[in-house]
Amino acid sequence: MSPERADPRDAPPRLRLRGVGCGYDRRSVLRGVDLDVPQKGVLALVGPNGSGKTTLLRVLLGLLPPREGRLELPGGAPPRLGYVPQTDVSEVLFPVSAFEVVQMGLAHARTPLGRLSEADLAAARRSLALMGIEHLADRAFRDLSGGQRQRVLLARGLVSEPEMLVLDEPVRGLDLASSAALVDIIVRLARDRSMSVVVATHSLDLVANHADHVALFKDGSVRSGPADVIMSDASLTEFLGRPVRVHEVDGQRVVVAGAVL
Amino acid sequence: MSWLAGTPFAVIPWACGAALLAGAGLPLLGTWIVLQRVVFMGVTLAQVAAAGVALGLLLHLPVLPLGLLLCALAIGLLTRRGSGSLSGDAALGAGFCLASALALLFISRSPADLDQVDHVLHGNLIYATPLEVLLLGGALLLAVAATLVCYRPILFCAFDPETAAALGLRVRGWLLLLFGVLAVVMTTGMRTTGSLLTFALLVLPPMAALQFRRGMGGTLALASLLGLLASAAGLLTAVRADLHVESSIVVASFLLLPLARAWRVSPLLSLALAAALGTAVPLLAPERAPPPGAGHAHGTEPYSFDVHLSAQPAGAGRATLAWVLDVHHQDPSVPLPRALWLMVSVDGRTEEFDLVEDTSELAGTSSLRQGERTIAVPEGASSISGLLWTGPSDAPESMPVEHATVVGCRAP
Repeated sequence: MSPERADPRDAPPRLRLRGVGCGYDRRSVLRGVDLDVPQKGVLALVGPNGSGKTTLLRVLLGLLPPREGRLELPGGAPPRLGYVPQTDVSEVLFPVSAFEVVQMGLAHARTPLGRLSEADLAAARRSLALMGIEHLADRAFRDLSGGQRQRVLLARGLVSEPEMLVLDEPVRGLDLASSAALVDIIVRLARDRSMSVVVATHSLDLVANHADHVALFKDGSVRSGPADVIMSDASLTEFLGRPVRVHEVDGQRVVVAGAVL
Repeated sequence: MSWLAGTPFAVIPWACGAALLAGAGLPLLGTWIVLQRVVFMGVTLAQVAAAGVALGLLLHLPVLPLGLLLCALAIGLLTRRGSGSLSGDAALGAGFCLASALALLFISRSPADLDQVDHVLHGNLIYATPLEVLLLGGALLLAVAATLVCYRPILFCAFDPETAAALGLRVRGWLLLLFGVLAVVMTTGMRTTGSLLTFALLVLPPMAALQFRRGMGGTLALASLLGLLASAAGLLTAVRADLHVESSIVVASFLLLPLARAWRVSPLLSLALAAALGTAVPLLAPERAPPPGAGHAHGTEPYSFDVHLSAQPAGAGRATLAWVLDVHHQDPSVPLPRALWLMVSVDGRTEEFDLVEDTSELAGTSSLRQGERTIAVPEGASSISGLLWTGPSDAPESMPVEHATVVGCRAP
């Protein structure tokens, strides 16, 4: 872990899951999950498709009640949330502008007739500027590229100045440059704003370089801990069932998996 | 008003009112359905509302509350799974099949005549009464006001239900509100516009409007304007070419799609296509007047009349009888009878009144006239029939009109 990273052990967690089990209908997806969402810094949820990352995100967002166990709030009140969902944005039909999409993040700030105050509109403009896309404000969301859309959704997630930002596969489908730029923004915000960032991802390189805390999902259970412990060669080799080495190239960590053991 | 002479408004004013209201209002609601990709929800709700109306006819119960009740049940079931997400096309398809079958079964068992089947399934615009138009207008006003006041939460919930739910919005509640007002409009207008026209106006104008790539507000306004234009064009076509009114509006609504596509290539091309289609309308007229002196083709009458009657309760012992007169004047060289009177019989009791005082006012080879009259209906009466006369029956030269068909109706 780089010296700049937040140490998740220096403050009580924002959310604490103890023995949580969850699923859909009669299907159980996760059981006995113990996990702390740190007060600040990046918590990465890593695992193969169908391992339960998105399901756990839904529990954290309050969209899916746990079937068993406890979800504790050491701070008392639930944190103010921002959410950037996993989207198949190529299918968007709605003729809304990027600015309108960002305004959606201020769902609770509206008057009864749905109008936003000047201060809220200014906050939406600031959020677009923070992402460097204020020039796209009036463009139709459906006409934007994948990277631009993700930035708009991130601007929407941040517009209410959340205490906990949840992202589901934020770099999925993005090219290398867009992906790196988006990750830089997320990591900078996590540092500057002292907020919790929970991100579900397949990208082990992203996790190795930027996460402070990691939760590995496998076979319905979760193993979590500080990034420097979880993202070690031995831990990843055991998790993936094949030899894994974490190399350092030009100051960046690269995860390389070998043949099946 | 003289400037309305020769237009459908002068001939069938209430039908025009209902069609234009539906044309302007339904696309405003339909835009949300098209954008959420739940178009099948629209057609399913239309069929459920039709089944509710049919059940009301069967049980002699008020059709509006019954239709609303069935729609509420259907919406509750179809939006049950997940946090506001719909159950998918399969569930909607199953609901559509069941509702369509129930509508037909209810109607087949109801004492109402077969015309009711046609009215519920395919609409009854030209028989639209002032009360029905008023109710439809009120329901549309309520629906449009509700969606405008709640525009932003509905937009968020429809655009991204999962994030809206994560941020604390009651997604299912907002979507239920949207589908609820849609159900109110559909049930209120079902006996007037029918399920086919209702569904067409919900879906086709928004599809055309989306091709113009405006913002959300612009798309909603454009969908409403295009629906209004399609209704007006369909009405004009139906009256000029003597075609089924509802089907004409549906076809006009469909033609918005290629015209919108052409507009994106060139607005001039689109306008030229629209003009060409308008020019072709008279060619759709079923029969042409023979040239002067050519005589009559075998089996062709110089003129004929169709009169359709429908009745609704109007207090104890009274009924409002709505009539539509369809005049086909194939040979202008043979004059029409000077006046047209209708003699109505209700279980042996007769009344008569004029439908057209002076037929020289009728222009062209095809004309429609409509009106209504309050008549006495003795208790226990079962049917109302009619006969077309050339004047009041006690006038010296009055006689029944040849080539006239009067379709009667059930006593309410």
